[in-house]
Amino acid sequence: MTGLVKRYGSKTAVDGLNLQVEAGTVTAVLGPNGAGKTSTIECCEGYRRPDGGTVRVLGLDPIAQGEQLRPRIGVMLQSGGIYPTVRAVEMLNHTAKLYANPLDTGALIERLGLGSAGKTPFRRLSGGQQQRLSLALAVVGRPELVFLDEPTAGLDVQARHATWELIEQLRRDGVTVVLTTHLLDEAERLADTVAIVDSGKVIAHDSPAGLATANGTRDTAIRFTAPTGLDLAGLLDTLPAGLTAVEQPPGSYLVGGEVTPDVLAKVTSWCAAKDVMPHGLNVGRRTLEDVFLDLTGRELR
Amino acid sequence: MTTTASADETGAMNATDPPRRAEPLTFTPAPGAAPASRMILAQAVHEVRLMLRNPEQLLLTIVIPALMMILFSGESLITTDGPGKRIDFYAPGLFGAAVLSTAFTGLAIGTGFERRYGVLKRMGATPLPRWGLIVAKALCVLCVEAIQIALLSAIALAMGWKPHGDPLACALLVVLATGTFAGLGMLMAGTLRPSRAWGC
Repeated sequence: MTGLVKRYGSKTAVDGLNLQVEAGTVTAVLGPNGAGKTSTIECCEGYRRPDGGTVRVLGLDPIAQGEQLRPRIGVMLQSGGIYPTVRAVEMLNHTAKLYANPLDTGALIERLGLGSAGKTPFRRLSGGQQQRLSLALAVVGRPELVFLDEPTAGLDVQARHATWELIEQLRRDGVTVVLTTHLLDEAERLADTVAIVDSGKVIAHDSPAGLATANGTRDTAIRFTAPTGLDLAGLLDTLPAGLTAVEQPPGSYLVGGEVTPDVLAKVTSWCAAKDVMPHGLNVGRRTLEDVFLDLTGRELR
Repeated sequence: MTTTASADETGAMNATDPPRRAEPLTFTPAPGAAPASRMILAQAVHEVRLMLRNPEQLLLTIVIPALMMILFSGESLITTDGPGKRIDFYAPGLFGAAVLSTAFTGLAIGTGFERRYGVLKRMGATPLPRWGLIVAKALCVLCVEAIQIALLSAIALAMGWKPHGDPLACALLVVLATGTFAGLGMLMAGTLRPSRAWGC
């Protein structure tokens, strides 16, 4: 995908976006609401005609060669797309019939924990069940590539983990996955590569670990708890310049700055000299959340 | 189907055999569309099933024409001119109304709802091509019409209707009317805004 542009009226949703996805990987497209994630995905799925740039999915043009492309991809829409009176099993069985080598629908239903929902009309399924059925519909045709638009939106913790496990199995079995999310932990856990999208552009594209250590940034904080009232000025005297130490709230200590192994050793030996046990000692890493904040200058949610 | 059949032929299946374990589910890609005929047939069956499950559609396509047939022909609510019994006057007209209700009203309502619920968008991501969906919808309408006409004919015959005219010509008329009304219905469903736009 190179230089993708998508406009709605005068509003430019996707503004020269470049993204390449390797086969057999999980790519998370991460960004705040309105960043252009769904517009981008829908250009790949052939729903929307780009106003500029080139989109190739499995080497095919999603608009001109849609008929060849569609059997090879699976699509999970953000919501809806299913008739309210249709029963869950019925919808899955029907969709399976449209493909040459569908999965065993019974096994898939069991895998997604939808057994109890089989005969329930779609509109009476819980939000989580609706999401899982939608995921089942995306994978039932044994696609090479699946697009999942916010696959865990509105799921409870348990259902979210079940969905994550399924996505991990998709990758193990050789399916390429492109998912959009605004959940950082989801991107961090699932994705081989994360593309951070903001205002219709990819502003960073790397592995989650690569993003977190980008720009040579090291760990930035040591946190621990200890009895209140330690003499932090004494601690700072033993540490290199440029570091800070605060007690906030009382009993919780934070040493900020560039944390090297040497700094850590100095903090612990200072504690040892005072016969103080630093409980819950934690060397803070930059999370994807910090990266995101740095790159976009605003919170994700 | 063929694999289970061969297993059955060995005669090895009996009650003492442990249940065969389902193979663990793998998602190894094996993409491909089903043959067009299978996709279209599956879609048509699916649509007929949904249409017959929808109470509004059933009321429109089956109950109202049947009631009209019984009430109008049984009671002299409206006087008819010309020779013949009332049923001979109403039956052909109600067949026409039934075709209209399915091909035009039913299809337009159904497709309008499909737009509103995003069903068409979802279908757009499946291997079923656009023309396949239209053929499937046509088959669905013809199938529902066959049910209507069978039912209405049974009622009309029971009430003493004596059909006359060329059955083939009538069938041709039904098909032509279906094409016309279905085209108009799809045009309406496609161009008018879905009802969601009113409220929100």
